[in-house]
Amino acid sequence: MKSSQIRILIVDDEAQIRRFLRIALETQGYEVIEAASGREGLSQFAQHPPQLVLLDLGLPDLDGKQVLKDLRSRSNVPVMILSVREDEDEKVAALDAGANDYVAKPFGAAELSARIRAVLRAHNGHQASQPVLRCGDLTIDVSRREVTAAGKAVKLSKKEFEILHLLTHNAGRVLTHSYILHTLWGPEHEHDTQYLRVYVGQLRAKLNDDPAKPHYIANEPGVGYRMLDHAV
Amino acid sequence: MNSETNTAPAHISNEPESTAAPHWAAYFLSRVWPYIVAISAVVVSTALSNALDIWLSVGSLTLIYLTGVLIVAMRLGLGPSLLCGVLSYAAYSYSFSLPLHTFHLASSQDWLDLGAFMVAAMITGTLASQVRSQLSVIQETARQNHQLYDFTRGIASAINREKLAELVCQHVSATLNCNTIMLFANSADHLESSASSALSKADAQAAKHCFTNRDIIRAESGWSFVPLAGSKQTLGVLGIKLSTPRATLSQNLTYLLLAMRDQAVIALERINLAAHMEQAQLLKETERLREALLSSVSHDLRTPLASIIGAATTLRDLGSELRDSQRHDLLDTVIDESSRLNRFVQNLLDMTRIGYGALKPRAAWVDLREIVGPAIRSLSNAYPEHRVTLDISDALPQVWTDAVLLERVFFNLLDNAAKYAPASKPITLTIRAEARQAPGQAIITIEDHGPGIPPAQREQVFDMFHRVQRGDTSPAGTGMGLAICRGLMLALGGNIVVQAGATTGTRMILTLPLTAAESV
Repeated sequence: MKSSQIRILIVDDEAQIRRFLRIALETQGYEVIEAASGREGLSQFAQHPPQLVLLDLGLPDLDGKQVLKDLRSRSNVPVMILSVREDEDEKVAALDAGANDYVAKPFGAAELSARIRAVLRAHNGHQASQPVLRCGDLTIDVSRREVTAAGKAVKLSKKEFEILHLLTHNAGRVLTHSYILHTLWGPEHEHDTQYLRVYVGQLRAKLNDDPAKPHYIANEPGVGYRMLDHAV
Repeated sequence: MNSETNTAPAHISNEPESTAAPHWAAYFLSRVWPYIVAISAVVVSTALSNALDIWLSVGSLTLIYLTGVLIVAMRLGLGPSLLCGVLSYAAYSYSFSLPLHTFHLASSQDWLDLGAFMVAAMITGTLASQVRSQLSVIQETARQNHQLYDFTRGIASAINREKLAELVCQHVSATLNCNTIMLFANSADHLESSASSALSKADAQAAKHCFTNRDIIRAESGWSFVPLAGSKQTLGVLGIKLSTPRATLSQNLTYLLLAMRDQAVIALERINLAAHMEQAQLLKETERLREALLSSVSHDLRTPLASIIGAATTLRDLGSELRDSQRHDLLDTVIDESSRLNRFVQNLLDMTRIGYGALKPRAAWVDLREIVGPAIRSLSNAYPEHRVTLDISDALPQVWTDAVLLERVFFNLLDNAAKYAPASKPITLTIRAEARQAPGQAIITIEDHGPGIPPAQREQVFDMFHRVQRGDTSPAGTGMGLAICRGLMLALGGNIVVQAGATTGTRMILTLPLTAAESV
């Protein structure tokens, strides 16, 4: 994979984590810059704007969420949260505050690389809206509103199509329940998780997707849904 | 309720020592005296009538006698007044009414006089004795009210059930002249069995019956049991045994007993409530510690694990593309983070041992210099940039202590200093022995040039999971290190305190007895 131009900023107070991340990411051709605190991270961001930020939530000086907020006020650079915090609400809060994805420590190098690629691709996809989306054996023709899965055409309702489109557009990324509800139904339905669950259930049934062993839509309990990225 | 109070003995108080039995003569006198007074009154009336005979008519003299009868009736009651009436009439008819010197009732007038004497004596005597008994009732009531007031004030100061029982028993015994026992309900809502052991089996059974049925029970043996009925449940039983068998309490005293019982119940509920609040506070504290431990384990175990897993998976997945130096770095990460995990687990174990008091120092003769060495070596592994300056007195004797535990204290303190203080300035470790102000002790100080600890928190830092809150910087710590150091130093017979350093930093002062560990 050619990614020699891509610069990644790591903001984590743990020297050992930075050390292995630097080695892993540099070996894959990324350029790496580091920061050990939130303030240092923000100043590094200003001096050498990166194309992706890996941000630890438990920083010694500023709350990671505050750093995220500051980053978001300046740029829409993809931000991936790294944290040992396992609190689901914490994840949702970070994602809703503008983080693009979330990796819980401890994580493996391969998992991280896959997530980084997915986030970067989704981010670049955002900028150029494609008329036809492909994700593995799933094809979505946006202008004709046609969906084929494993070569067979699937008939979807308007809302089902919108959900599938949104997830596929962000393939590989987790989208929180409230983000999906907010985007497709409007702010007043942000908490109607049950509503969303019903639609996703119907969508899975039509795509012949087994929730226990999902091929397309994976559930992130307590957080949201993720379209599995088969392009990796 | 605490189970510790279950061991409380029975609260029994005996009646106060009864005074010596009244002398029979005094008793006789108190009974006969009113009649002697009555007779004297007649004598006085006769003498007075004799003196006034010249000026008064015979009929008027009866008024003098009648006055005597009234006075006797008012002061001494019905019996003496009737005697006084009869004798007055006799004296009058003998001395003044015609025929003189006879008791003959000659005329209807005489009969009327006698009648008047008797009626006056009876009415006045009855009234007077009623008034007097009412007065004594009023006095008794006032006395009881006073006692109840004293009682209420007394038990208000009781801080626990034992003290309350003591006060209640003492007071009830003194007031009612009886033996008193107070039994409490335990946490399982049963009457405490240990306390009722002072009673016979049948009495204990009666007390239990009283407790479960909330009913006043009189046992065969003379014990009476009154339930201590609280607003929600029965809190216990109050038992009394009058000193004279078969005697019963007057209604007044029964009311007094019940009034005292009610006050005791209020005091008992107050004490129970306070105990509950204390317990709740304790639970809250335990909960806080548990949460702190959980978050510490979650963070301090996971962080090194994240580095280890990350480094190991990088080695596995990208192995062929890595340069030798990178591979080496990753392996270093695995090793460093594994030893960090090991230290954390060691801390957890130490903490648990200290917490359970299972830490047994194994003392031997130790040269403190030899302990400092390994501690500094471990520190330079974790913090290669920090330097330690040593200042150890030449005349340092060998110390009888546990080298392993002491090394752990040294390392924890050096690690702490390195964590918070800048690497540019050295950490100073000083050891002095047999200083004039501390004979028989080694004094070890570890001083850094870090941000220091605010005076208000210099004792709290030794609490488990306490971490000094700083607005901008707080390097990763578990909040266990200093608590463990304190626990270890106490186990070694020494102690550790914090002072302000010479500059901004922290000065940890350890005192270690040169030989005290011998006795452990």
